[in-house]
Amino acid sequence: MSTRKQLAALVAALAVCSFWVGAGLSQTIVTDEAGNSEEIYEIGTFYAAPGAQLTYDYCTACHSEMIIVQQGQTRENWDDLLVWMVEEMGMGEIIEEDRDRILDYLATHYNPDRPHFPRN
Amino acid sequence: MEDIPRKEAENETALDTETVDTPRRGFLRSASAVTLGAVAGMTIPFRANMPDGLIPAAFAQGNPLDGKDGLTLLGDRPVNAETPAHLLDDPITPTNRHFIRNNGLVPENMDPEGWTLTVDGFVDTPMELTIADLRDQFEVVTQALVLECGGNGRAAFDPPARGNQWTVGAVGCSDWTGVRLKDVLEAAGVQDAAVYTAHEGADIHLSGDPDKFPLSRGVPIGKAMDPTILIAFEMNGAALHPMNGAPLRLVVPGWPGSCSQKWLTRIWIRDVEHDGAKMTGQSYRVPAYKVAPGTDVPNEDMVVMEAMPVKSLITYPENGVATGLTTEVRGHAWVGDRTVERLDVSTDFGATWQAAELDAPVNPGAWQNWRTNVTLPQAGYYEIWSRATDSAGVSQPHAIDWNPRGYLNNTMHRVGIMAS
Repeated sequence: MSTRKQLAALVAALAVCSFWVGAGLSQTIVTDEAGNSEEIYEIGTFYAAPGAQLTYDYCTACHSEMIIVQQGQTRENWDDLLVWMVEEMGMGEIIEEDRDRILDYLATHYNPDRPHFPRN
Repeated sequence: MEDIPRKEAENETALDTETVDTPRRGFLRSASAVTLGAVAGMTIPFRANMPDGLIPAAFAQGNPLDGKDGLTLLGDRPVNAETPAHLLDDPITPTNRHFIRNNGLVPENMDPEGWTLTVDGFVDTPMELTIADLRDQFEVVTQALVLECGGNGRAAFDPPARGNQWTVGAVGCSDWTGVRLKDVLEAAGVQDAAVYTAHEGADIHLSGDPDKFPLSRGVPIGKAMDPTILIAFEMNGAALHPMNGAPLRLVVPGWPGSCSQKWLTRIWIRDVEHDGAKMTGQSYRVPAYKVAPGTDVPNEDMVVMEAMPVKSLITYPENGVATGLTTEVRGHAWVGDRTVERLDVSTDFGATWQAAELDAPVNPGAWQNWRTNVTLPQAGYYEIWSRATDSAGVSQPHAIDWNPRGYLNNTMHRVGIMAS
């Protein structure tokens, strides 16, 4: 890609940024204890950990992550919820590998112990 | 949503993939574009220019709490917000303090001009009525009516129940102006075969699929003839708030709020229990028998929730404040299809109780205001508890009657104070 095109894209990106509220383009890498890493660029109110970006991208196609961060569910229940989302709520099929990572993230951070329950 | 639109949208982007984009973000873009297309009812020619992660204006619709004051935002898409208890102190809930509960996206068009309500199904005379028709053809009445989300109090469930984690503030009692559902149904001539109403609104499914309703519930035909139920076009003497169902909604006091369809477009009279969105499965249903917390209950054992149980709220003093050794305590009490007969207050964790002064409802379907003064023996931390008892002798319990989806939590309300 030409430098000029890159510059145009950058200008466009910067223009776009000014319309975002609370969202930046800054990217960070998060790594968990098991050594899993993920690049994070926009996860709203999600807890920053590997899987957050993937989960955010899948779920916020239809609804805000704010409904998710309130929940405290077992992995089995999250699994059922994803089945329901695909079968009943119009969600697209989830790539199997992604599905496992999403379930790992949700069951780790939004489980019945509610480690990240939002406090008002 | 199929894979196809996702790929389509990944084809051309204004922000080049190599610079700032990632493949995943193309997915986001396409999903929003498809949904937005459904919202707008057309394609989006410039969707390639839409920034990644941008919430389309048709979703965001400005500040979700515009016209509201002090509400706690639980979610912004769909918009859900509750009112802290101390902000529900008014005898009649002002519009800016009335909670918001949405299952889908707010309709784009909420113009009362041209809005029509269809009444059809098992009726002699199907009707299509404008808001002017409703005003002209039926008696217009104003009533204070309590609306409470069926899941109010869900946040206290253990193990947690899925859904919005309402604490205590998904309740309100505003003045609603409209016509009686009963009068409209009588004009249409409900047939003997009628069993249930089915309500439809103009809100949009979160997936953007125009063939899906976010919510379509109903009530048994006998309940529909309750004269307290209104088809309302005014809230507290003004147009309905957009988040509270403008320009036309049902208000079914004392039943789960989901019966009170917002952005109302159709009342369809059916000869079976309605099976619309969130009528079946586990939604707005509780087990037919008592279950231990955490129990999985099969769908066939879940029954539709009807009248809401007796409940009360302390709106003064506010939780966590300092007070003198004597303080007024006040709030509201309500129950579906009954009246509240007494309201007791305790300052010693329920060991002893004193009766509060309890008003009659200003009209059937309204909550009841109450007040009392409490005197505390010495400085320290106290909890004020309120316990309402209804006309069938049923009182609020201490513990939650746990159910899988976290409905009907009517435990006593507790407020902590530091007295000195």
